[in-house]
Amino acid sequence: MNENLFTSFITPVILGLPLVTLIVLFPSLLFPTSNRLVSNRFVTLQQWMLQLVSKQMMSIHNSKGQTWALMLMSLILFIGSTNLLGLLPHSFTPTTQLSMNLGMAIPLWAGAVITGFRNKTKASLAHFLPQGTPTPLIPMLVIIETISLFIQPMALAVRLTANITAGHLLIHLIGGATLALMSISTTTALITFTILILLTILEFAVAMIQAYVFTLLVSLYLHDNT
Amino acid sequence: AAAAAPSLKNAALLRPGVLQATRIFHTGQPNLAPVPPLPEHGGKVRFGLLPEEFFQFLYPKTGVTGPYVLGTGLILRLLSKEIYAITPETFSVISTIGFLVYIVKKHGASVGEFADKLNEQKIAQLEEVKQASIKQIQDAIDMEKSQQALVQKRHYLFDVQRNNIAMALEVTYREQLHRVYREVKNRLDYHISVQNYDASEGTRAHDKLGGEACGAEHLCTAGEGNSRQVHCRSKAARKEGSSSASYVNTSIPIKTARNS
Repeated sequence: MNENLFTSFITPVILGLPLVTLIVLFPSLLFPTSNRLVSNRFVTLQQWMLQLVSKQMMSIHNSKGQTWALMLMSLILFIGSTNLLGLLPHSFTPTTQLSMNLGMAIPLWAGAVITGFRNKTKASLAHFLPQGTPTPLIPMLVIIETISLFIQPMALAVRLTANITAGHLLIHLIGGATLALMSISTTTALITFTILILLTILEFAVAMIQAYVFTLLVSLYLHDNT
Repeated sequence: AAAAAPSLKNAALLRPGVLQATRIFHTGQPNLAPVPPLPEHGGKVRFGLLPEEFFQFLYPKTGVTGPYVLGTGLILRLLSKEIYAITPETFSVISTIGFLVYIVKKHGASVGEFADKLNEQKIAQLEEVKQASIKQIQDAIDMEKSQQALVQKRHYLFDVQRNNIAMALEVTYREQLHRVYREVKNRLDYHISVQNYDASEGTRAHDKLGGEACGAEHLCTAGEGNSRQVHCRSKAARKEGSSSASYVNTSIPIKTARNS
């Protein structure tokens, strides 16, 4: 049971060749580009969704922040598609690996913070002290704010990893419970229903993407523009 | 591109495009226009997976039930030989695939219609622009035509105006001619009356007075009546000449009282 529980998170390797590269590159095949004005339904829906999301996300930035639009949109598409594909049976989700999420979170966060420090040094440094603090608390508050700043990339990465991994594990566990309870057939129907509900909630992995990009976005906004 | 290359060559003094001018890009038709149309419907499938052609392929040999028996046999073989083992993941398979199938069956058509509506809106927007442009040009054409029709009728107005002016000119000419005639007649009547007066008894009185009876504008000398008449006549003629306007062509000879 223990062995089988975590086998789905092993990086797939076929005959010593890393299959994980192909798995990471695969979602890009699902977003075809089309130069037509009127395309098929698939491309039309994707274009509509992308337009909706980008308008909603990038409207709060000024022109300097909006140069990040391509980066953030591709980020949300990648994480969303990867998570949704991972819900299919017997598939591998790259975002369950902490290494990959750290590789996404740290450079983006660092880029935002360094941009803020380069262009608006005083404003960025001023973020370490919230307004209206009483004077004796200032040193402690500065330390706390520094810690909270440096924990941001860690939080971003770990949040995504933990959520997706926990979801997959739960599905596996509850499936295993169902299997074990099959011989005691009265509770089987109940468990299957629970699986279904849990899965529906897990389909909101997309909400995780929202959380990821939104958090990143909010931090970028605060650092770069204010 | 072939036309662009010579212009590149002659673009600057140093001719930076000389090297690249010999290399011509994109000689063929660009694949952006006109694109072939997309097929409207995809291939037909059963169970969302197996194409209809497979069933048609097996039909001559095994009839209608052939592919189904094949499928059942394959699945049972996979299960019984544990090529596919029942694991906890099996239940997640059942729930995931069941959920997806349920969602697609329930909302698939409406999502497709929504996508079609999006495309319709795009096309309708452009069509509207096109129609508005056509309508605008059509309105301009109609207005131009009506104005041309108006212009055709304008010559009536000009004819009327021309006639009016001609009539006015004629009237003015006749008026002035009449005035000239009257003035001349007045002057000549005066001369006649002066002559008559002279002929009767006025000469002696005129000589006595010293020639002041003629009036201020006449340079009359104390002399014979003839010379006085000539002077006065010439003065009168000059006055007549100035009284007749320049645009009135007095071709009618003025007969004096003496000559008539």
